[in-house]
Amino acid sequence: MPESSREQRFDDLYRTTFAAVYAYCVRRVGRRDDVDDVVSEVYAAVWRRLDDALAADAPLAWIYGVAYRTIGNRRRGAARSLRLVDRLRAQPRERATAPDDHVAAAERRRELRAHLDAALAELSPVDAEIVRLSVWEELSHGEIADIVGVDAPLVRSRLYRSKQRLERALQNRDIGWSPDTKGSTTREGDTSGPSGTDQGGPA
Amino acid sequence: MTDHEFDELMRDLDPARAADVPPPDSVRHRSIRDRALGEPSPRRSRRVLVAVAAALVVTGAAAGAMVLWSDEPDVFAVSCYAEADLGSDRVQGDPTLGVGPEACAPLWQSGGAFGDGPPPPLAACIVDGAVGVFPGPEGTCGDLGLARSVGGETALATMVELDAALRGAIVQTPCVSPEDAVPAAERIVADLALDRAGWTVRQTTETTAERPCASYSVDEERKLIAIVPIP
Repeated sequence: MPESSREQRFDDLYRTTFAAVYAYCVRRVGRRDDVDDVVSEVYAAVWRRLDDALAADAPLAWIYGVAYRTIGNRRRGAARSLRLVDRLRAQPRERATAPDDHVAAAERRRELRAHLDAALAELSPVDAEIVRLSVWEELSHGEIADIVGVDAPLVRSRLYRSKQRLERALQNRDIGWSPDTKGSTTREGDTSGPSGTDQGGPA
Repeated sequence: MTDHEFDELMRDLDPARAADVPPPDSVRHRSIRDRALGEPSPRRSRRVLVAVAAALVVTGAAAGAMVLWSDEPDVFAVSCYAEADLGSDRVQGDPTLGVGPEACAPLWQSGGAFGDGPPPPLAACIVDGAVGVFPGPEGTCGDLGLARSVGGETALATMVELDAALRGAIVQTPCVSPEDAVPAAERIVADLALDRAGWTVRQTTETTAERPCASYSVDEERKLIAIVPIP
């Protein structure tokens, strides 16, 4: 395949998957500059294995699999800055001292998010990833199974148990959330998560 | 909490928001792609607009921003962002005015690169070990996933570490008493070798039954970590 054609195919794939892959990495890495590095690393792997990516039933899910492994490798490498960010993200923040409505809502949102991060951290990494992939990336059990390397029936049962544990953990933390209070959090933009429907597994 | 309610909560707290994703026509979008392909990034992506803010204010020059380009953003003490977005345009702040929001305020005033009126609320955050100032309220740094800048001349990376460690040791549930928070903070100060630089820890007000838990504030000018009882 001529290099220019290969590059064009990569660009098409990059353009159509970038937002979803970037959002995936934001959810798991946090710090924007680190996210840029991770996304770049993910697409470098995609570039090296472009034929595999394009041959996948669902290229986006295939790239999620690459991102999952890339982030896992980086966490094992445990760059100091990433550990610091994890600690920052895992700690509930101080309340604003004199909040106006916007600040109070944003503060409340951060507090809830910190509790969620802490509760997710109490799960095994694979179970936490199964929950994230199900709720945030909205992937099917089969797609999740391909990414994390667990049989699909096990994904279903582990997802159920993990959610039960998360709900208990959040209730134990007395976060005071209910559907009625949800509106008190400020939604500063849509999730823009990928639909991820009908996608097969990564290589 | 039902399963549906849990999903709803988790989606509501999704850290990925539309504003986080560099748009397709942005420099960052292109830069990430080029790095993946092993191509040199366009130099523009590593450049920072350097506005001569003071000159603009003094001359009252209108919107025509007098700008220079630099390829070495890391040497700048303060980066001023046009929006509460790390991908937005950056302009060097005036270091003679300080290392916080004050360095960027002139850019929002008459003849400035960002605005032509009173400056909006500005939040000083830590971006790659340096100070980045964004328009927005106090919580802007947290919204961007950044630590707040605690300001000053001490190495910012150390201040980030200090802030993170204090948060981990003190600002957590269940509450830590001020009496326990003081030695915890002292250990952190020692671990970071800040005690050798003259840093101290002190509980500034007495614990009461109404205020049994500890919070903290960092006073870099006085090199003091104040332990404060809170509800």
